[in-house]
Amino acid sequence: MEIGLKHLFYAFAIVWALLLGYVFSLARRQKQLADELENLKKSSARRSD
Amino acid sequence: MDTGRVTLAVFRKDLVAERRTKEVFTAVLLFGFTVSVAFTFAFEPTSAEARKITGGLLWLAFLFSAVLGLNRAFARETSNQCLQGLRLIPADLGGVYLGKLASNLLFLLLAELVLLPPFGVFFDLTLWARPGWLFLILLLGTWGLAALGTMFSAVSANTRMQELMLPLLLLPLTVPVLIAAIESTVILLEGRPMSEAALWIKLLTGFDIVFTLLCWLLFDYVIQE
Amino acid sequence: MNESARHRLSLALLVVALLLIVSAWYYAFQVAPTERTMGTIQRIFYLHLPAAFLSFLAFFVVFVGSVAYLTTRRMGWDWAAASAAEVGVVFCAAVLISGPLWAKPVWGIWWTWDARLTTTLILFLIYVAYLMLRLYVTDSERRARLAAVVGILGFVDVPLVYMANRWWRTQHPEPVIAGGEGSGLDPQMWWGVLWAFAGLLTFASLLFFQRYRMEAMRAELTQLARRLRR
Repeated sequence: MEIGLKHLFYAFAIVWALLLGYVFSLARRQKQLADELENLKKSSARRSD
Repeated sequence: MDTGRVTLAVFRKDLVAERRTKEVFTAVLLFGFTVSVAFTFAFEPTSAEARKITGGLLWLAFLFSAVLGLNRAFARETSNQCLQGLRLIPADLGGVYLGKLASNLLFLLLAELVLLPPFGVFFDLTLWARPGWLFLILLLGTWGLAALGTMFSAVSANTRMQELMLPLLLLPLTVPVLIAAIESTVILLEGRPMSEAALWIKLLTGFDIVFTLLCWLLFDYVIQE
Repeated sequence: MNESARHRLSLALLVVALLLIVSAWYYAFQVAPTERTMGTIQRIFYLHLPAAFLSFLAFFVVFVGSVAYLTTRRMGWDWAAASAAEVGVVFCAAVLISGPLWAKPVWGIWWTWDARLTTTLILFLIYVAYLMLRLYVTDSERRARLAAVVGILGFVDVPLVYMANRWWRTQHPEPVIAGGEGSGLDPQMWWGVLWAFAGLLTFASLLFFQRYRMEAMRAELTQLARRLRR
């Protein structure tokens, strides 16, 4: 009895999309923070010259 | 200054302020009334079905108007820097919470009691068959809403979203109160024996005690600078 | 731990996680027996149940972090709570998505106000509100304090929400997702669940650490910015 095979597929697909989407969101936000941190560090280095 | 006296002092202050302006009571009452009218347009139940859903509708009306009233009640503190004054009290601030809880509970209950007759008329209900039980359910349910509501109105006053934060926090966390209050009210309105509501009443009481205690302990953290 | 070592650790964790998850689901689909009444659709279980465990675990971490922050006032606990809340919400969403997708083919309806699914929904709303609260408080100390209070209240609320829903369900019975409270599980199925849980737990831990790292970076940023403004 193979009811719901489509639903099974969608469940896994959507959940994985969700998880990977979160991974990308994390990566993007981290990169933003890292860049800002870099910039600030550079300007503070410049300031102390 | 010990907790009891702080509680009483804050309670009395709120009473005086409310007696002068009547903001909270009127807001809760009028809004509750409007919501009830809106419900009559949305639901046109016959008398038999009525008792099943009107329990729910009643508490929804109470919940929505409580949010309004609680926001208003705390807004009174933030204007005129009353909050700074409160922070200076040389005692633990838990008493402030209890005092505000008591005054909020009083105002909400009064408004609800006034709201009941018109609600009963709109939905053709016999509300007063067992007034003692009705009052008990009202008290326990409103207490639950007020316990978390007083706490969260203080929390939300500290955010950029201000009043908008209160319903966001209050609605999910008071789900047990809503379910229990609605079920008990439905049992009451349907004329069934109140022994069926025993579990719900116990849940309500438990919820009220647990959260009042918890909020009393945690209130300091919300108010301090 | 320096930057490159941290990177390598993250990568290693990711590889382990993916290996575990893929093998767990291979097991779930090939090795585990087919459930008698529902058939293949039941295999959603190997996603649904571990995700549910994980989100509850995450919210417990939020609670611990909240209490720890209020008692020690160390920001690390606040960062842990924030990270756990976000990861928990993601897995909670996974539960809420897989639940209806399981219910629809089996019972013909998307939602059944099953006690556990409803509690999960309320849980989701509570922690989304927690995250929104964090979003709308700018000062980091105030944010940590307020979030901790909400984190504690929210967690204490959860058993009450569950109880209320359980009792409500006994008054208004309807089909229960996941075969109800008393259903037994084939031991082979339990292995599948455990394995899937291990894989997802590794993955979730990775997400948690990355998120924690973000909070640490943000704090460093704020500190640096403040120093520069002087």
